[in-house]
Amino acid sequence: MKNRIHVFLSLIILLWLNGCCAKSTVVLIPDFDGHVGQVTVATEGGQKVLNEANQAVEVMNKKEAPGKVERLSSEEIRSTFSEALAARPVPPVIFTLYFLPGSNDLTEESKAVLPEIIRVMQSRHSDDIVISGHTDTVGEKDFNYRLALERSQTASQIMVAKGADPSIIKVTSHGEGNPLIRTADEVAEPRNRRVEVTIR
Amino acid sequence: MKRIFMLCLAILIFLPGVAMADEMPIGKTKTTKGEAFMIRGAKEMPLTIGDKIFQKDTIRTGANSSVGILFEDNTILSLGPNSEIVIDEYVFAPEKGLLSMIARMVRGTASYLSGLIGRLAPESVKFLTPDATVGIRGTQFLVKVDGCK
Repeated sequence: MKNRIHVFLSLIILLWLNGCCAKSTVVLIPDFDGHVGQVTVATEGGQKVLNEANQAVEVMNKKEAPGKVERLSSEEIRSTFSEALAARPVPPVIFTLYFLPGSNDLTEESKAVLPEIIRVMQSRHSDDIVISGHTDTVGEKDFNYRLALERSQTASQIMVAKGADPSIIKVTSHGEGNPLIRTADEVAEPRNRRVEVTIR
Repeated sequence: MKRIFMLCLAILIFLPGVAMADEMPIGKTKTTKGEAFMIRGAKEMPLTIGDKIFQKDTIRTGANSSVGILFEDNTILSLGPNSEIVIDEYVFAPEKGLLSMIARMVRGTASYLSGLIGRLAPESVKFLTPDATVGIRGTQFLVKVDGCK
């Protein structure tokens, strides 16, 4: 009987330990271009902000606030995360094309970018190209969706004529929903009237 | 009566599965090493480069293994060995103003670089660990979860 109680107690302790054994570590690192953003790590007990390169914080359980913010060395980061870091896909390359107002003709500057797009596509052996059309906020949402789609279709035709494989191109429209420059509604902004070619 | 009840139950169970099949892929596998798997519903499948990922998929890696995923909005996620993450929610429809991503790390190590969803609607991106929520302002970070064996 005493034995059984022992086993029972051990089980309880094991379960309790298991419930507490999860521990999270979050480390902020610079983006590929060197820019450092910000993350907040929050639990029921509080939150901590990381906003400098290689700052890290540990969370022991969901009730307690995250621990002290500390800066990790590159070696410490490597020793834990080298494999996750090595598995990161190469970031996509994004080219932006502009059209002459009210037409399906590219501006001279954008025409000059086309050979570079083809070159990057080939050098990366990409089989995953997304062409997305964008408008500014002048006009109805639905109208802008169709307008942006027409422009991305035009850009796709231009790319195919230059030698891109149409079977790997996905043509989409973001309408007025993904502006390069944020504006209020009904604002003419030439930089938002664009097509993006994303080589993934 | 019991039959009708069972029928209703069956419809309730299978309907979400049917709806899921119509959904758009949310990303693609771009790198793999060793044993990388995807769990979709009751199915477990090995992941190879170019495989499509869908909302609600679980991604898992074995020992000495890793996987890298590029999402539709250019979010970059990679997992180190013995890791597991669930993509609970992923909506990328900027033309309709619908954007959200909820990823739940179960165990292991991960690297995360936010994409367009993070730029356009940072409050709609949530990265969860068993005991914390990571809020993201357009950035790259690493996560390690020492899970329970």
